[in-house]
Amino acid sequence: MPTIRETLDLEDLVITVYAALDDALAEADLVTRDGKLVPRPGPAPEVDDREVLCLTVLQELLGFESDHGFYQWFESNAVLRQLFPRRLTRPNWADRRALLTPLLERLSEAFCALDGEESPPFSSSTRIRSTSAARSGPATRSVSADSPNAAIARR
Amino acid sequence: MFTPGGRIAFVLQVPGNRHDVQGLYGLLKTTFHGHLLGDNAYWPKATKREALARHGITVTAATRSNWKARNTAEDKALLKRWRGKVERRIGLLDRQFHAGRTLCRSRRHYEARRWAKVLSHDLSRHLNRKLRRPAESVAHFWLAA
Repeated sequence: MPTIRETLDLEDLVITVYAALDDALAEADLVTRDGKLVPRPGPAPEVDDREVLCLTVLQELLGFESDHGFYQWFESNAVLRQLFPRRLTRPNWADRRALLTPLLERLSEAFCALDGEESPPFSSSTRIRSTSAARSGPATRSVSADSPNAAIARR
Repeated sequence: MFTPGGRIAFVLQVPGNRHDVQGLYGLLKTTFHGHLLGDNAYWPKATKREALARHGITVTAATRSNWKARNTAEDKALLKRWRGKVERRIGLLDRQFHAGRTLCRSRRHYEARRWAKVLSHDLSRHLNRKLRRPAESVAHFWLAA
């Protein structure tokens, strides 16, 4: 992985993203079997799920709004063609991405865990003591948890 | 749902034509419990308040200008302090990952792309930490391409 302030080139970026996803997969206890991260029937796919995952993340990371735009760029880029010699057609790639949706959720959680982030509810240095005002009541009166209209109990 | 460190812990999808408070009611179907800060569109209706309290969800929301009831000065200060931080993170997600508009051909693909955006967001913050770059920067990734 490149270190401090080095400029990333595309190859470095792809390898870095792939390695980071691998770390997250390990954190989430997800293993590949026959190139499949999501168990399903059928023979081993020609393109590994991890490659599909890496391309999915690259599309969003590099700011491609449309699948079509990304895939055109991907097909015409020599570095990516070399790194991903086996390619799916665009619709097939989008279908494989949709198949991996539950995995995307788990990996997102894994990155939070890798970075030492808490799960909700979060502890806050800000004391959140009171509840909001109730819908009814005098203009100047603020509402406490004892109010019959307490939207919500005091924490 | 952003973590204090700026990662996205989870996403709750609500159709765009629904009222904002439906997002709050949607939390009842999740395991989330905690305190929600919102604008004046997040006031729950009376029939939902008990369920929210039972679920462990508390709310501090801004009051509407035509209401007699008013938040305390402390609540107002709390909302003012946090709103900017939260909206800045939502704005960054929109700007950096085009989260405001998702091009896709079906609901299944829409959900996949939304989660891909979330994962890319969290991964970019993770990589920036490893690469010792500014936490919320993505320009160096774009430059690489």
